[in-house]
Amino acid sequence: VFLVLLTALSLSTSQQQNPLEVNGGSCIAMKGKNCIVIASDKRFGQQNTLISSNAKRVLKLNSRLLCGCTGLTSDVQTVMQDLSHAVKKFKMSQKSHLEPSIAASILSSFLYSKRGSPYFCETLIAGLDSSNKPFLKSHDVLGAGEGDQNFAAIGTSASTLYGLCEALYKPEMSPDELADVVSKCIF
Amino acid sequence: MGDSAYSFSLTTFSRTGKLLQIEYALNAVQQGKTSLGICASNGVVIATEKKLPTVLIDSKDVSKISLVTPSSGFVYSGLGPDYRVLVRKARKKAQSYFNIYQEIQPVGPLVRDVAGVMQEFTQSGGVRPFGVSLLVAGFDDQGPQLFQVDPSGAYFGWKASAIGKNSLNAKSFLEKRYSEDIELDDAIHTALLTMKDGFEGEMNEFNVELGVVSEDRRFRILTPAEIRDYLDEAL
Repeated sequence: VFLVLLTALSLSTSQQQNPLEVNGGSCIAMKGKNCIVIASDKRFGQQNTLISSNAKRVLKLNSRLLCGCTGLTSDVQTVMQDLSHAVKKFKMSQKSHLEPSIAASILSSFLYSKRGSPYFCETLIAGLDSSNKPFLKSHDVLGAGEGDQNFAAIGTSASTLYGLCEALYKPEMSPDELADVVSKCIF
Repeated sequence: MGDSAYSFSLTTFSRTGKLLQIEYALNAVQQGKTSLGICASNGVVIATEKKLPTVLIDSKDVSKISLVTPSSGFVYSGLGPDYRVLVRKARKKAQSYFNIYQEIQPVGPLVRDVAGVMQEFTQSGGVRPFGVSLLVAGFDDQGPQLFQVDPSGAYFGWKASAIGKNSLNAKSFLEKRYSEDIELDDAIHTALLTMKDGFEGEMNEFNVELGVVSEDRRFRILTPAEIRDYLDEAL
């Protein structure tokens, strides 16, 4: 009850809330040599109040494909569930391996189908395609994709993360180097 | 679909458990001109007779083989106008697929979509089944594939098949000449020989149509000049 009261207070005293910033959370991904790393924070809050330190922001679509989502938590959860559903349907109807570009296209058209009343959720698809080449694509709330990036950051501290990426990124890093660099960025 | 007065399905079961409308549709297919297809190790070829009833018909724009996705094509035996409706619907479905997935619809899902449409028309109000069997040739990540789709909506994958008037003879001809590792050029020659076997009158590059898809994944309808070359090699 106390927590609810506190949240109600903090809500009533704030101005226009940006739905992408209410719950917080960021996600970063980077390409390396035949590998990708994706990392996210685990904070789930309501404005300044911390509700949980165990938020799930990265969805594992299969052993070679990951999707990170940040933004309004209810939309993040919905997008992750619906994407997982679409991917399972795809796998059942087609025997072929799910390429990251297909998953990105599914996500993109899914987000755009809500053009009139969008999901407040930015997304990141990172994976390896069938020839082991790394794939990385981030989408905004309407599903617009930034193709072929070497690194991508989404969420509340995206601009800070991008700055760190620019400074620390090197092409063709090994998995260990990559994990090292990404953890430096996210900390 | 259909008038309110015909909101019931016209395709109903007989006492013996058969859907007679579908049987009759298959009869219509059997009356149609022969079409055949061969799935080679590195491509697929489909062929059909394009015999026009009189010399007065201008055959330049008549095409029985149709491109449906950049990597797959259809040919039919049976009622031409029914076929055109199916091609149009299949093309639209393939394009919707591309809109979502940003890749060319693979052959399996394409065949399932078309078969689904054909099945709908056996169970909807005020419509009759399509009077065509289709041969679908395509090349995707699973390799070269050849499918047959019947008026009932049943579909089968084939290594080589024939439909229409001369299908029984053509199939036994194909059985003798088919081998697992047959290459596309051989398959084209075999297809032409098989067509010639049941052809009434003289077969030339103007009264047959050939569609081919190879490892480049581009379905093409061959020009009469190309057919002429293959005919010269085969015969």
